[in-house]
Amino acid sequence: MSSIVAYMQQNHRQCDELFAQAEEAVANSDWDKASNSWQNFRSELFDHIDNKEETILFTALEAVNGPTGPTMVMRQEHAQIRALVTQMDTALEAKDSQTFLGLAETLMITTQQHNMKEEQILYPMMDNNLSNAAELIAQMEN
Amino acid sequence: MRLEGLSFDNIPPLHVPLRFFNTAPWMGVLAAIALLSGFSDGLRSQWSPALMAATHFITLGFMAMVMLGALFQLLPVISGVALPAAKPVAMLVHLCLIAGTLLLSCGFLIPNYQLFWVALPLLLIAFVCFLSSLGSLLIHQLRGGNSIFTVRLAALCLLMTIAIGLLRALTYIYPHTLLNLPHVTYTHLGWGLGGWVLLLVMGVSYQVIPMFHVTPEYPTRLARWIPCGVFIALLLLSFFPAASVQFVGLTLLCTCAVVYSLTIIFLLSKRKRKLPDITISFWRLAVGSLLAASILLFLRYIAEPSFNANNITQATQILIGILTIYGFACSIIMGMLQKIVPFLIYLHLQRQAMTAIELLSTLPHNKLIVPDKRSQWQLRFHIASLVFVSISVFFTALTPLAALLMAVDFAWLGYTIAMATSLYKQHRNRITATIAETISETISETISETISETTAAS
Repeated sequence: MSSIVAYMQQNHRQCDELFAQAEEAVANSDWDKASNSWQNFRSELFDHIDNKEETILFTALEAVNGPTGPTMVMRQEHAQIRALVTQMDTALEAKDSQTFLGLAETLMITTQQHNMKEEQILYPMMDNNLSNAAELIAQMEN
Repeated sequence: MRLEGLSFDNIPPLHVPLRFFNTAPWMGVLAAIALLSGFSDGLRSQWSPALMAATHFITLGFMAMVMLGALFQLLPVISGVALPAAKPVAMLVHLCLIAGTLLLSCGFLIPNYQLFWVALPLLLIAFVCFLSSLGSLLIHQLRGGNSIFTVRLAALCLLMTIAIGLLRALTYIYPHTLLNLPHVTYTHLGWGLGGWVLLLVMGVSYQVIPMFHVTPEYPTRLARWIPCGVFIALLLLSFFPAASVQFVGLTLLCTCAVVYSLTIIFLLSKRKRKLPDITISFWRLAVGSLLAASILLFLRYIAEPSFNANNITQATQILIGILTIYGFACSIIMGMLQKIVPFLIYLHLQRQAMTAIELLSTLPHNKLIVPDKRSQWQLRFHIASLVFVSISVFFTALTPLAALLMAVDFAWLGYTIAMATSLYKQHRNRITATIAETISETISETISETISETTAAS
């Protein structure tokens, strides 16, 4: 994968698919499957926002440009996403599908508008500003 | 790369989009009342005052109202740049659009075309303010991509629609001095519906369908060629009257709309997010209506290429208009509002609650803000109303019943948005009160600590 935007975009889609599986399992009240799928989604999501973004990419961009508005706001939105995921953990434990699915709808749109900003602006900005993109992608793959 | 001025946190205050969303459905109710005022004659002729008034209540008062409100919200999010002076501009655009629409539609209904003298400048102010605000973003700031490319074309079509609409309105005020041809009306309709509405929906759908429903991406080549085809077709239809060119233009327009609709139906069938979703039903109803409208338009042209319409072709033309405006555009808007309104409310409440994390779990999620049952009733009312309005074109005695159903359809949407807004206000006040309480507790604790420290020291 040659660019950060292409690599991260693909990872967003992967998260979306795992999310859809968890959501479907909850809707069918298949709680064992729901729990597994939700864990798969959680670990992919947190790997995406904690490791790939906040640890590797944001740090690299901030090292070149100094602390920037966009990464700061993205970190705030990650906090909002984490808060929603925690609420959904509680709903799943309580097998409360109504609350889980309501929050799922909110999380879906929150992450999609977040992803749109990253894909439209932040990742292309990284591809333009960071000379070691290939190295960073290799680091994220490990 | 310049990073200053580029902030992601430019979401306008909630009252900016909500003022548009809360007004729009009631303009739809006025459209139904206008239709009702014509009794069973409202749908008899496409030039009937009741139908002209109802059409503009819906296209300007409902559709443009929601589209403008949504763009005020959406553009800063996707561009990362705030619209200049969003609050005052939004207020001005909103007020001018309301007053302009009311006067224009009343001008048609009474009929008193002198009202256009006030209506036209007001509408012009609304659109010029909006387009100049949107234009600078569209031209300079936004990155490429088929979605933005298509929205750019849509904005161009809006300019054409307004210009031709103004020309048409002037022919009402001065019937003997300017062109008074039905062709001007069809050109206005073509750029408004085929251009602005269809292209804006296309541009938005390229983004939101894969995003919200986890479907495959809209095929890249089609996403670029379909809007180009629509734009070229409109140019051919507007400026080249030769019969052969008109045939090519019309065939191209209908083909683009059919290919677009079939692709959306295909993508929705491939979605990975399989849950029952009312917005998907609205999308299906919308593209189904567009498909039917395109096929009817083509057949109507084959049957009678000239504008000298007999009764049946005239009724078919009205039906094509109903399917495009009420079946296609209004269905998508209603479906999208079921998602956008609760999301925006949650987003703003969540931002306010982030300072007091314990409040987050008490916020209402999407399905509490707009309950599924309420959305399901919206779909039922809308389908029933669309069916009756369509049938009334051929059985005009049914028009009053169709108009009543249409009023219920729009009023239900107004009720849903008003209930959501009131829930937002309740929670906002609760959050503000809790935060104020926490702050005052912290202050009094600090003061008493300081006092006891001072006493101890002395």
